[in-house]
This record gives sequence, structure tokens and C-alpha cells, in this order.
Amino acid sequence: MLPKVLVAAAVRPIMLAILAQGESYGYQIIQRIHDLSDGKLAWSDGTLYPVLHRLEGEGLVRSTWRMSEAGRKRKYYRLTHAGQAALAQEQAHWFDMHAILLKLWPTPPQLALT
Amino acid sequence: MFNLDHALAAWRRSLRFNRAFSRDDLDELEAHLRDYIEALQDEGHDDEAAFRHDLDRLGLRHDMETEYRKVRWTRPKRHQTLFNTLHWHAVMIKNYFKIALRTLYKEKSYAFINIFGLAVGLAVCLLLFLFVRNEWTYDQFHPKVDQLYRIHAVSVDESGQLNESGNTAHPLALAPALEAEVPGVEAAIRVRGFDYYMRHEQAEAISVRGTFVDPAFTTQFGFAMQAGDAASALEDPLNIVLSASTADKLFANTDPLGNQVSVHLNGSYVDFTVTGIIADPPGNSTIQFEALMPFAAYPMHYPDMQRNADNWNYSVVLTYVALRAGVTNADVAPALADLYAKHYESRLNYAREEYNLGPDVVAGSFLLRNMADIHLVETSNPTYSYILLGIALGILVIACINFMTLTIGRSARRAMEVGVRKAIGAHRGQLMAQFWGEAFMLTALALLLGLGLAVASLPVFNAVTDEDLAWTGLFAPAVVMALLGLFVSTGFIAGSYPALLLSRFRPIETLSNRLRLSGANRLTKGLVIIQFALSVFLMVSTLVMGAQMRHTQTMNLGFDKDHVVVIEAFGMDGRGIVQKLEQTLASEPDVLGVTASGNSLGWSGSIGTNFSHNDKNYTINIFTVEANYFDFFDIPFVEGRGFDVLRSADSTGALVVNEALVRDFQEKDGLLANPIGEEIPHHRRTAGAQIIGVVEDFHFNVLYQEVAPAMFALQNYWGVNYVFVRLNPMAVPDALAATEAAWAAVVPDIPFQYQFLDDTMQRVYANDQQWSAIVRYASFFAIFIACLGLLGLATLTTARRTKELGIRKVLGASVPRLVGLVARDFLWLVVAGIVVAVPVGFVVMQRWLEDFAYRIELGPLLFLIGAVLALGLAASVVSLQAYRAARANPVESLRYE
Repeated sequence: MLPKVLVAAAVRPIMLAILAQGESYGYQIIQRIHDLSDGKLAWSDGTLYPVLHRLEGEGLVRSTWRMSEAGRKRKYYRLTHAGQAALAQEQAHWFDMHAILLKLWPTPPQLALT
Repeated sequence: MFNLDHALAAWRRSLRFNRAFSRDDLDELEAHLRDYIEALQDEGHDDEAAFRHDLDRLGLRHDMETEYRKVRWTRPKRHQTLFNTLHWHAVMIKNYFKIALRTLYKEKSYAFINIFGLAVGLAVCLLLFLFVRNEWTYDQFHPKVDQLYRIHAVSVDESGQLNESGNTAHPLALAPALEAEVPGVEAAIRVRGFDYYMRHEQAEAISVRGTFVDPAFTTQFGFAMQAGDAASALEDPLNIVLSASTADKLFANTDPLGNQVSVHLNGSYVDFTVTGIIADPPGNSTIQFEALMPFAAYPMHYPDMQRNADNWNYSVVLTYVALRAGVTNADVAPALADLYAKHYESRLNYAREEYNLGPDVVAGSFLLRNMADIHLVETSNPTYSYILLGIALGILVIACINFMTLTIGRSARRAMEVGVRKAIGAHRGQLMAQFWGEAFMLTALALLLGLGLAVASLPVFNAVTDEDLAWTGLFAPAVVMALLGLFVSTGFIAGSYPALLLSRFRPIETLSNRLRLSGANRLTKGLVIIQFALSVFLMVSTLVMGAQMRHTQTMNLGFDKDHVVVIEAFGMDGRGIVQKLEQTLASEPDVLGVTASGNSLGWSGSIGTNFSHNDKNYTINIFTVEANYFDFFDIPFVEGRGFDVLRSADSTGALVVNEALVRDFQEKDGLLANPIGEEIPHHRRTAGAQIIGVVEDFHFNVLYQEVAPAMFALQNYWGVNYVFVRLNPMAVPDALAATEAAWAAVVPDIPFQYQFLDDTMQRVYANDQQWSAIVRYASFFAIFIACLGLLGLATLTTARRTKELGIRKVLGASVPRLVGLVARDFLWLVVAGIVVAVPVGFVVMQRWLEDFAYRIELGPLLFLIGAVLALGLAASVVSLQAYRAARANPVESLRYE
């Protein structure tokens, strides 16, 4: 399980990255995070939505209500140009951070040894 | 059994009022839940397990709420658009409306009193205004009204000034002379109207107001021709123009144009050809007619007229004058004076001698009175219009004052609301807008309701006033402007107290309820006094007018007027008809008698002769009667005897006079100390005729006049125009049927038309009755509105004193004592109003009664009744409220906050 603080910092680039792959809706996004993280990213679903809303408030994503194939109303989110720029910036930041940590930790942790 | 939809709905409900979530958010979350549950169901979980697992995954509500709130409250501020601003204004206005409606609803009875009071006041005021406007717009529908005049002959009186009132009846020759000799006169039109029987073919004749007019009538006056040619319709003496409603009556289905109408003129039917249909004269027209006939036809059927066509002392027709455009009354005055001098030289000389005037003084002339002034100067009394306007404004002022004091009183209770609004950030401007807006809204509501009430009650009003007023008059520009003015001023004043005063309070004071609201107490008290003064004044007037009307109805007139039928016999052989009727009806047990006379009874003015002798004027009313006249009407003799048909001398040389005539001569000349056997002094026409009897005075005139000198004769000094039939009071219908049958046998070509004598006599007082009716209704509404206002004030006061009353009650005060405590304050105001009203009412009513020669005494009783009524009404209204407050359980009232 990843610590909450770290998750909170990462959830934003993750969301942006997922939406960069195409339009999606809440449940699908959350499922995808689950799949990608093998369950390591445990965060209650209910609090992921506010993140999406905040991104929307910042103008990075845009939402529309549409009918799903099952005939239910669904809110779809899509990355805006500003969102793509923000994603590029996030990537830059994370790579910088990654580079710093790599210099400090030349070898990956040997989990099997512990 | 678990139901997924119900569970989801329950979950939604639990979040619905949580302000962290918008509806949109909830929609999204629900969609999420459904997706997830679907996925779990596919894996084989049952609904309930899936739902519970799902909620688990959603996380703790508290965490979720915190995150959502973070987004909501930290959402970056959007750019303020115009739409946004408007949106929030709209939301605020919606809130004002909601609060306004809620306050109204919460205080239903005040709201009703408040709005309804103003509405009723306004409705009454509007109706009275319509009535006055009708009076003031009389005859103004003629497009050429500025150029239209009615002519009257005036002569000097003792003061040496021309007497304005003058005589409106003129010789036949005047109109042609005016057209020929007075430059500036475009047309002179003679008008003489009477009721004539008219019929089409052999259908039953109807009585029609037929008016003989000169042909220019249809072009100079503003009555619209609906068919036929206005210029030529009355050219031929055998043409007739019918009013629209007469045409409908005579010709039900056929087109009247070109058809014949038979008119009963001077004893026989004469055929006229219909050449035009003209609009019915409006109610506010001085000239009223139902059919127009060429004046040229008049002398053709009345030999008297023919004989006197050039006699300048034979004055019988009204004459109207149309001046050319640009010519004024003053321009033609000299020519008119010349014309008068030319034909009435002897009169002028007589007047000059009589009053010792120089030869240059204009001792008499023709004067023109503009059409628009005729009604107010001659027919109606303009003071009445002003009084009525005063009453209307008074009622309106009372209603507005009530409205304002009640609105102010109600708003004073909203100090708390003002505090709350201020505490959460309202600034003063907003509060002012709110309270003024509310006041204007209420005013508009009341005004609309009032307008509706006025329109709805117009038919009733028309029935009361015997007028034909149209509701369209309510939307005349002047009325609309006045209403707008009223709306602005009433709304402004009613809203000013809360808008200006309440909005200034510091919220902490209003919220801690430490504020004392004394309000405009002195003003309110003054207003209550004015209201009741006006109400009591109107009520006293109503009582006095009613008493005088009853007095005229029940006064002993000196003759027996009951169960007598009057049949008009104008233009017929009255005397012959009476004799035949008498023979026919002699065997009828239910007909008690038949007689006839030249004059009816109960008229105003004088009918007879007028002469001067030794600087003294004498007026004698002349009655040509049947011998049984005095028996028929049960008029007692003071001395002498009545006429005897068996004495041939009685039919030519005998007179009966009344006491008033004897008195008149005794006072003026000392003559007729012993009247029997004497002649009427100085009177040429009756020279040689002896007085054979003196009857007691009886009121043949209206009661405005004292009994005037009168003489009665069998000789035909005056035509016999009225037939009287006395019916058996126990068998009126049978007697009427018998009379009708006898009439049909004697006068087969004239339908039997009758009236009861007491009805016709009472009709003379129609104007006064109309006024007393209007004043009665006005006083009813004035007192009604004043009581409404008092009720509202009492309610507010008792509400304000609830706690005080509770404490007094706990300490042992009885209910009557508490009622007295509250009522006393108000009743003093009413008493003050009465004190103001009584002297004013006394003076005004005294003036009104002066018109009646026979009037009631203005005693204290009527004033006492008025005062007690007002006080009683006020006391019951106030006490009712006070009683309710005093009866309340003190536990409740002391807890009241």
C-alpha cells in the first residue's frame, strides 16, 4: 500500500495521463487506476471525484453528460489543451524528481531479501 | 427483500440536503455506484452485497464530504458576467417576493383589511368621479360645442342689472329673425318636444318623445345619423327621423327608411315618411328626443301656432343658435340687443320707467348661453358636484390613510427580519428597495382590485343614480394619470416608514428586541379623528335627508292623493273625454270618481298669470277644473261654495280661490277682506267673474314652494289636460281594468296610459332622492372603511400590548376591565370626531333644508342617533379585538415573544 500523502501528490498526473489516452468517465477512470496499480493505490472512490472536479475548475478537463450504452446518464471527462500542457509539465516535474531519487538510490530495493 | 433502486434512492435522499454535494455530483456518484454494482453482479454477487461493498469503496461519508467541500469552496472565482449579476438579483427579488407573500399569508386578516379597504375606497371614489365627470361633460360631445348656444331673453330687475336667469321660451319668429338680422349666426334652430303617440300601420301606438326641430338640427348638433342624409332628412314637412331605439320599437324587422309612421297630432293621426335614423342621444345630452320632425310641420297641425307665427309675445319654443366659426358671443351681443329692442320696445320702456333708468341703459336683451354650460347652470346644481367630489376625495383620503397606517403598523413588527437581513450582510439600499417594493406591490394590488370592483359595481351604481355611465370612462387619460399619481404617492408614503426608519436600526438592537416602537402616534390619532368626523358627518346627512324625504311623502298635503290615477290628455278634447268617461264609469262600483283639470298636482313653478299693479307683482295659478274637483280631492271650503253645474252662471262667471290668494291681496293692497262676491282685483282676464268660494290651502306645488295664490274656474282659461280617476283602494286591479275598458270605448285610437298620482308627485323629488341615495351609500362606505381602519389599528395595538394584558390579567384584572382599557383610547378619538362633525353637519344640513318650504326641524335626535351609531360601531369593532386579547390565556400571552 502506498502512503496517502504520496497518492495525493500522484493522483493528479495519473488522472491527466489517463484522460490523455482518451475521453472517459468516473468509474472507468477509477477502475483503470485500480488495474494499473494492482491495488496498491488504495483510495476511497468517493474522494477521487472531487479531484476530477478540481481539474475541471482549473480548466484542465471538460465534462459533458451523455447517455451510456446501457441507457444511463454518465458524465464524461476530456482533456483540454490546457490539460495537455499541464500534463507535460507534470511529466517534467516527475522525471526531475525521479532523476534525483535515482542518483540517491542507484539500485532498486531488494524486496525479496527482507 | 432488498430492492436496489430503493436503496439507492434512500442513499440519495440522505445526501440531498447536504450542501457539499450538488445535484450534479449526486447524479455522477449514482452513475458510479450503478456501474460498480453491475460489475460486481457480473462476478456473481447478489444486489445487497454489491451495494454494501460499493458504499464501502466509496469511503467514509465524512472524508468524501470534506473533499467535495474543498473543491466547492476553493473553486476559483469565475469572471462576473452580466448574466451572473442579473441572476443573483433575480434570486434576491424572488426572495423578497417570497417573504412578502409569506408575511401577507401569515397575517391574512391584516392583509385583507389593508388591501380591501383601499380597494373599496378607490372603487367608491372612482364611481363618484365618473358621476361628476358625467355632470361636467354634459353636451360636450357635440363637435361644434364651442359655437352652439341656447338663447334666453333677460330683462332688468330692481338692481338695474340684467337678470341672468331669463326666459328660454321664445316666439316662433325669433329663429328666422336671428338668421336674417344677426350677422354671425349660421343657423337658428327651434326645438319643441312633447310625448306623442306613434304607430306603424295599424300596430298598437307607443308613446314617443317627438321633437319638432328646424332642418339644420341634424347637421349642427353632434347626434350621428346612422342612415339617411343629414342635410336633407328634415327638409320636407312630412319627413320624420327616428332615433335608433324608436326605429327598433316601431319597425321590428323591416327597414324603416321610406316607410310611414303615423303620429297623433292635435286629435288625429298624421302620416310621416321616415327619411333617417339617428343615434340615441347620450345620457349626458340636454336635448333628449326619440323622434325628430320638421318644425315646419308644427304650425300645420296646431292652428294656435299658425295664428301666432308672427306674435312676438307668444313664447313657446326653445331656440338654439350656431355661430359661424370664429364668431364669439360678444360679437353678436349688440345685434341681439337691437333685435330685442326692435320687438320689445314696450317692455323696455316699461322697465326703464319702472326702475327709473336712463334711455341708454340696456333694459333687456337676448343672451346666449353656451351649450356646455346649460346643464350645470340651469338644470343641475354645480355645488352638488363639488360636494360629491369632496366626499369622493374624503373617502379616498380615508382609505389611503388607513392603508398607510396599517402598512406602517405591520412593518413595525418586522424589525427582527431587518436585523437578520442586516446581520447576514444586506445593506440599507437593499432593505429600502425591499420595503418600498413591497409597499408598491400592495398598492398596485389594491388599485387593481379597486378598479375591478368599480367596473363590477357600475350597473348597481347606475341603478341608484339613474344614470347611464359607461365603464370606459374609468380608463380616460385623466383617470389613468390620477391612478398612477395615487399609486406613486400611496406606495411611497406607505413604504417610507420601514424603508427609511427600520432600515436604519442597528441589527443588534432589533435582534435583542430592545427596540421600542412608538411610531407616528399623534399622526395616527389625528387621522382616526378625521375619518370619524367625515363618517359621522355623512351619516348625519343621510339621516336628515332621509327624514326630510319621508316628511315630503307623508306630509298632509291638504288633499287626498292616494289611489288616484292620472291620465294625460294633451292635445285631446279633455273635457269631452271626462264627461263620457264619467257616464261610462258611473255604474262601476270600484271607480269612486272621475274629474279633470288643466294642471296636474305636485309640480314646481307656476302655471297661470302674472301681472303688476301699483308696483306690486301678482302671480296667480290658474286651474281649469271640473265642478266636482273639490269633492274629488276632498278639499274643504273655508267659506262660500263650490261650482254647481246646474247654475249656468257658474260655467263662465264664477271663480273659486284659495286662502293664499286672499291673503296675498290682503297683505299687498288690503283688498278682498270679504272675498265672496268680489272680482279678482286688477285682473283683466277674469273681469266680471265673481269669487263664489274660498278653499283651504292645499299643496298643489312641490314642497320646495309655499302654497301659492290660485284660482279655479270651470271656464276654459287653460286647457283640460289631465284626467283623474279615483279607485277603490280595496279593488285597485278591478277598478283599473274597468277604467281601461271605459277609456278604450271613449278614446279608441289612443292607448290607455296612466300613472298613480302619488308616484308622479314623488318623482319631482327624484333629484333629492338621488342625492340622498348617493350620500347614503357614500356614508355607508365611509363608515365601513373607517371601521376597517379602526379594526386594523386595534388589532395592531392589542398585539403590541399582549404581554401587558397578560400581566394585568394575572394580577387580577377582569376581562371587561381589560376591554375597557384598550377600547377607551380609541373611543376618545371617535368622540372627538363626532364633536367635529356635529356642528358642520348641522350647518350644512340647515342650508340644504332651506330649499324646502316645508321642512323638518333639525332637532338633536338625528345627531344623537348618528353619534351613537358611529360610537357603537367603533366600540363593537374595537371591543371585539380587545375581548379576544383579554380572553387569551395569560400563560400563552406571557410566553409570547
